[in-house]
Order: sequence, then structure tokens, then C-alpha cells
Amino acid sequence: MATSKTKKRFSWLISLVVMLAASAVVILASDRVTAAVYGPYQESQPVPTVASMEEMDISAYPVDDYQVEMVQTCLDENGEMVGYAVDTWEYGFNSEKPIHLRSIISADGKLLIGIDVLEQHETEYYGDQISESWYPDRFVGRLLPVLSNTESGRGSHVDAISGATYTSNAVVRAIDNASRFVTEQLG
Amino acid sequence: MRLNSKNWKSRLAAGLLSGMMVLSAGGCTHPLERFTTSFLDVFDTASTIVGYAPDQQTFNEQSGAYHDMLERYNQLYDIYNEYDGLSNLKTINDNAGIAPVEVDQEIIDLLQFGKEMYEFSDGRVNICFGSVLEIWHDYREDGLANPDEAELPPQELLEQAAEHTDINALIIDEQASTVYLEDPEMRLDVGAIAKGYAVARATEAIAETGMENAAFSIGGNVSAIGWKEGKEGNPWVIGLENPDLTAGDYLLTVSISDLSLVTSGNYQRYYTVDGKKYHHIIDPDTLMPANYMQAVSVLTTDSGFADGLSTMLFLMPVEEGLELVEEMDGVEALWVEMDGTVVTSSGFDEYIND
Repeated sequence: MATSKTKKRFSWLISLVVMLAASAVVILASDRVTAAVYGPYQESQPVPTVASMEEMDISAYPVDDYQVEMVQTCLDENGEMVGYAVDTWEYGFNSEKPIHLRSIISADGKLLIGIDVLEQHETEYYGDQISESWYPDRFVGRLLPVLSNTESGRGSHVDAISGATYTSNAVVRAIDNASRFVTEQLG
Repeated sequence: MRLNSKNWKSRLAAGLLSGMMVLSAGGCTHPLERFTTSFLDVFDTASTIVGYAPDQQTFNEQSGAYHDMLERYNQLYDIYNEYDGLSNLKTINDNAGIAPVEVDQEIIDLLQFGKEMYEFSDGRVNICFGSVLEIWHDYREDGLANPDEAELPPQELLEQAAEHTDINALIIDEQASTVYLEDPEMRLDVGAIAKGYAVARATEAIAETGMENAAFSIGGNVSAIGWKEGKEGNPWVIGLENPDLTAGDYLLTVSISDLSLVTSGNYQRYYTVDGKKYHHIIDPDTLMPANYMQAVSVLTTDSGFADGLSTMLFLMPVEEGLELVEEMDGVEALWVEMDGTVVTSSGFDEYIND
């Protein structure tokens, strides 16, 4: 009696192990497929070098609609135009003093070549965060429009992020304004 | 090996086979594409929807419907702003001690859920705690605007306000569809539950538009329905934010389907006084920010319950919370302790990816 019971329990265990192994294979395989399909989707693109900039006359454009302050054309070492440096402002946590941000965007408006935080009076934490070099670096080579800071900056097949509620991201809004100005007004 | 209808194994195999054929045929006729949209105009946070749909237009209609539902909930549950022709929680607060306010059913439902959460959490999650939270909110805003002059609210002021947080003074009349705060000093603040509750209701309702496979991240509050790529058995991959944001990576990722993941943490909303950080989740016993952990994430089906429970767990010691979660069915949780140690409930690990 005892042996047959043990045997039964044992065979049940074997089938469980087989099932687990099978599902592990399925999960691993599906993981690989998604990585292959969606990996490149968020991967950073190669960006051109900006060697010099020339200020543009933007007095004829509706700059206020985009919170644009200054636009410079960006040239590479050979003097070829590679994109625009668009300075925009946007309020973050500090409702009195906005963030001033420079977004360097390809001439077709589709690629973010880089960002530069020109001026900010943010709270200690957010201010520290956006001033650190890793923060703007996350945006280099991103395709526009930038959807959200968390999704764009991380090269993996993660679909969403769970975290403590963050306040609307001023930097992303400032970039999106700059990108809209390039595509809608300069493009 | 003749097919015997009495043989359940054969029937099962036949059933599975035909099921697979139907599935693969369906997959061929309606290839699904991945679409993403984001918006910044609800619940004062950044939101992203990722979904699989046959085409862009379908996705736009579905995600647009989802956005519009959240926008409506946002207006109804707003305690700071008024909207034309709409009675919301601000209207109820403004009429505290004056008159009952007739409101839409969505408000009644949220407040009833708030009362349930109060009972469940032994008063830790209290939607009538607005008078105290209002003081912290004002001191935090001032402290953020002028960091050099940042101050803590005086304990006396907090204690006075705490006198006006009795949930029994919240009178809900289901028949008349009215809400009344009997105590003129009392204020509703649904910050601990409203976003999760709204996401839960919108996620339920979105099925009517035909949206079956999507992940919604509303300011870090994630709900996922169906499957990634619309392929059954292929779960959504959700990253858990590292409380040390400068680490620039996830703590870990989990695979989920038809589940919600909500996190309460001390690392996003806070201000600094004399070099010390004070965050926004206030312990009703001490009237000060709770300091048991950096963050806690709750995994369960209903996003509203996940939201309330994550706040509740944030307000109790990790050990105590772990005991509570182990006793509950269909709920798992992950804690990040003050020193960064990760603690999980027994069933959480099976969702974690390597």
C-alpha cells in the first residue's frame, strides 16, 4: 500500500516537473521573440556630431505657441546642416521659475541628438536628477516624439513601469514642444 | 488508436488541437500591431498606454476612450479645482457643515469604497484625513518653492486638524445621491485610492470598445489586460522602479496578465527641511510621514484595492504587512526596506523574471 502510494505521488511529481520544464521553455522562447521584435524599437540611434551652431532669425514664427526662446542651426565638421538646437522653457515643480532646456533635433524632426539643461530652479531632488549627466544622456539618440521619460530611456522590452506617482515630466514636455516646433514650423 | 469518444484524453487532445487551429487561424486573419500613446493631463502625472490593435485608428479610438474616462474621474475626484456644471469632491468639501451635495454615482461609489478601505485598514487609510493632509500639502508646496525657508508644520496645528477626521461624519445618502460632511472643518482627500479606483473602473469598461490586450501605466500605477502581442500565454513585462532613481535601472521586472501593480513610495513626492526629507504619505497615528520602508508594491486584480492596500502597507512595519498579505488570497506584495533590502510575499517570486 505504502509503496504504491509513494509511486503515485512520485509519478505526479514527474509530470509536474515535465510541465514546469515545458512552460519554462515556452516562457523563455516567448521572451526571446519579444526581445527580438521590440528590442531595436527603443534602442538608441547613432547621432551626428555637432561642431558649430548659428543663431536663426525666428521673429516670423509663432514661437510663443511652442514656448521657444531661441533656435540655432547645427553644423557638423564639414559645415553640413545636421539639425536645430531649440531652446524651450517649461514649468516643473517650481511654479515661479521655469526650466530652460536646449533640445538638439535632426533637421527632419525625427531624432533627438541631445538635450542640455540650460537653467533650472527645481527642488533638490528633481533638480539634482536632471542636472546629472546620466539624465540628459538617456535622451541621446531617441526617436521623437519622446513618449515618457521612463519608457524612452531604457533599452529593454519592458512594457510599463510601476513606481511611486511622479509629477508630470517638465523635461519631456519641453522636448516635445521643441520637436513640434521643428516638424510643424521648420520642417 | 481509434478515436474513442469516451476517452477523455482523446477528447481533450482533439479539443486542444481544434482550439489551436482556431487561434492560429484568428491570428492570421487579424494581425495585431503594437501602439503606444501617452498623456500628461490626468491625475497630475504622466500616463502611457501600450496596446495591440489591428490598426492605428482602432487603437486611437480605444485609448482615446480610456483617456476620456480617466479625465472624467479626475474631474469628479478633484479636491483642488472646480469644473463648469460639475459637482465634485471640492464641491463637497466647500459645503462641509453647510449642505448635502448631489453628486454622480461615480463619487458615491468611490466614497463607499473609501469607507470599506477605512474599515479594512483599521483607520490607516482614511479619505476624511484631508484637513491634516492639506496642512502638509501647503507646507510642502511652500518648502519646494522656497527651499531655504522650508518648515515642518507645527505639531499643534496638525493635532487640531486631526480632530476633524472622523469618517462617521461623512454622510452618504444613496437614495438621494447626496454626500454631506457634518463636520464643517472636515475635508475629503482621496489621494490614497482615487487614481487606482479610476484605473480599475476604466480598465473594466474599456473591454466594451473591444480593447483586449493593453497595459496602462497611470503615473506608475500599472494595470495589464490580456496578453502582449495578443498572444495567449505571453504576459506583459512590467518594470518595478528602483527607489534609488539615480541607479537608473529597474529593481526587477515581473510578468503579468489581467493584474494590477501599484507602488507606494517615499522617493517621488517630498520636500526637505534642515537636510531631512519629508514625503507625502502621512501616518494617522503620528501625523508625520511614515518611515517603515522606501516603497511597497502590491500585485492583485483590482487596481483600486491595490492602491489602497499599498498605502496601508506603507503605514505599517514590513513584518506586520507581510503577515497580513500572506493571509490574503490573490494578493502578493514586494517591499523595499530602508536599507534597500527586498522582501517578498511567498507568491510574488513566481511573477519575477530572471
